[in-house]
Amino acid sequence: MNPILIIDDNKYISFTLTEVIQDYGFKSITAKTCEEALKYIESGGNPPLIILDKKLPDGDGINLLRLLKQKQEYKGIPVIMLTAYADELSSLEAIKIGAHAFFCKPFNNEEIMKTIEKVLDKEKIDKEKSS
Amino acid sequence: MNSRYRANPVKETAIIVGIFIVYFLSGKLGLKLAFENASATAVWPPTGIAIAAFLLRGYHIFPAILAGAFFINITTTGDIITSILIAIGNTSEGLLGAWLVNKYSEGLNTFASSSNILKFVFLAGILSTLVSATIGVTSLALWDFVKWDNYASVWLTWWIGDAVGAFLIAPLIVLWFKNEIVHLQKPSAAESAAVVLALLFVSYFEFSPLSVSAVKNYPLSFLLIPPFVWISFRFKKRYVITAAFLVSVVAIWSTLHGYGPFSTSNTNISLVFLQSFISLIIILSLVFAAIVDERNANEEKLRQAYSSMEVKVFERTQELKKAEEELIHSEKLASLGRFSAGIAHEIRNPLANISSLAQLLKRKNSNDEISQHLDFIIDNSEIANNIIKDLLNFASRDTASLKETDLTQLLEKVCNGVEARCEKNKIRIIKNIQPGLPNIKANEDKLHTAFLNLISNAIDAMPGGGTLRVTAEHEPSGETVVTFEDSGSGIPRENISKVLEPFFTTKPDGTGLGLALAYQVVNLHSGRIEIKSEVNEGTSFIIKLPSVQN
Repeated sequence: MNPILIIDDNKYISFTLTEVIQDYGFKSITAKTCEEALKYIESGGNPPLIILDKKLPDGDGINLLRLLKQKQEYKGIPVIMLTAYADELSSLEAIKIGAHAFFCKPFNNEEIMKTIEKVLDKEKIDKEKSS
Repeated sequence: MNSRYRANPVKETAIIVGIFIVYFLSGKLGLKLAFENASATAVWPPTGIAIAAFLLRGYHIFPAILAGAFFINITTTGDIITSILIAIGNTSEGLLGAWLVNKYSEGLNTFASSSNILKFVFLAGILSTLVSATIGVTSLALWDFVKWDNYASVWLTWWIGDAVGAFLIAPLIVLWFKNEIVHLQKPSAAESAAVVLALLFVSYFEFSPLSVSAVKNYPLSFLLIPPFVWISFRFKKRYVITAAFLVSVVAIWSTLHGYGPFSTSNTNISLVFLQSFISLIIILSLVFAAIVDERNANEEKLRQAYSSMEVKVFERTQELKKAEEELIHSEKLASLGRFSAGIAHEIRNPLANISSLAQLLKRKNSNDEISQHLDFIIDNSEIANNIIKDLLNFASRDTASLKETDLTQLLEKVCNGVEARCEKNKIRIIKNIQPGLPNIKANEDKLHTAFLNLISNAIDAMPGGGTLRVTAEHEPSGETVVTFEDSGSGIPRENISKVLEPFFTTKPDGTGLGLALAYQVVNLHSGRIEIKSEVNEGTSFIIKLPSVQN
């Protein structure tokens, strides 16, 4: 399986998430900005899942989410959004645009991982079905 | 005229008889000074008595005047017809004078203002006395008691006698019977004594047979003016008129005996001169006194207006200060909100790391003690996060999200939510929600949080149990009032103004944001919070919210 893409400019968060994801038996790769993430995806990174922070140095994570969901080739990639703001409106907005889930920092590892496992299982099944 | 006076017929009859006696005696005394004609005198107090009696008691006492005048004249001339005619003239003079004063010069208040005093002088003193003089002298002439040649001089004597009677006696009586409202500083005893001495000195100098000037009839009448100016400036009008009365008694006696500045070879002419002069002094003094009083009254009014303006300015300043304080307070909160939003993000990232790594370590670790420590780290991250949550609530103050909300339902929901907690803490909830409360415009979630915070605060205030009353009622003013009343420890007076400020707390583990948030939310709803608290009795938080206008 391709690595999960973690998009967060905070190197500690990226590190911790990488560690947690690894601990649960998955691989991951990190990007610090929208631009870097987009470059990775467009260069054929094809991540099975994206963890996307809402506030990034070069823009709002929600805009990147919208961009991905508008493109036919990427809109199937599940996105879990993260935010340091406990903001109901933007979480609703993100879900509306097509985010799979929305987590507030600080988060519960287990909850996130359960969500990830569920998504990836489904992905796997879908892929197996289609192949 | 006034039914009050007729309530007791015995008393009223006694008064009428009394007036008759006084009128009769003063008339006989006046006629003792009749030199031009037995019936015409330059000194005629009955005119003043009649006018004062009509003003004070009413027109119905006229029989006293009629009878008095009749008996004065019948005992003087012995002629019935002229006596009747003169009596009719005297009575109608009094009636006319009193009626004119009642109608045009505020009746008994005629001596209260300078303009009314002048009206009295004209209406009662000059106009109404024409009647008596004309009827009296004409009837005397018709029945040959007066020669037609002398008609003019008798008429003038009569008229001046009556006029002076009106000027001198009517105010004397009225001012002593009717309480004067004055705006004077009470003169000291020393000043009163000094005025009396000055009057005595001038009277002695002018009128005493022992004084050179009186004997030599020097024209020093003007000497009376200064003491009267003094009196009228500093004393009530009743004292002014009393002084004038006493001086005129002395002056009449002195003039009759050939002393003083008015004494001439013709006693009647002397008296006419004297009376004219005294009238002038009375009128000027009374008008002077009234003007001084009016000036003092205006001054007092100005002072009052000024001080009430000062009070108003003070109140407005306080209001402004309060508004300014509120503005500063809300600006403080707004900047706190912006600040909170800014730092929340920065804190939450490291917090997420701490918590997340601790969770990761705990998962990998099998040592119980370390696991427990890691739990503490995780729990404390959560506590820190909750503080940030409260802080962030300040940052979001959007009024746009207010929707019509059923307050009754909301309160029920809040109360149900805390039932278990109250039960655990032995707290009884008493709900008293008025049926049919109008809806309010509210952000339901935020108001829910605010009410919850207020109830939590109440629960914390009753660690040993107690009663929590939740009351909601609609006021006629259009506000809905929600009260949370606990029977807890109460808030010390010095803290009441602070409890709504952020970070103010007396609890060891409190954040000081719960009540501040409630305040913020109520503000967002254009409402107000009032706090009533007694130490050891309990606290009431009274929330007043505007109802939806239909």
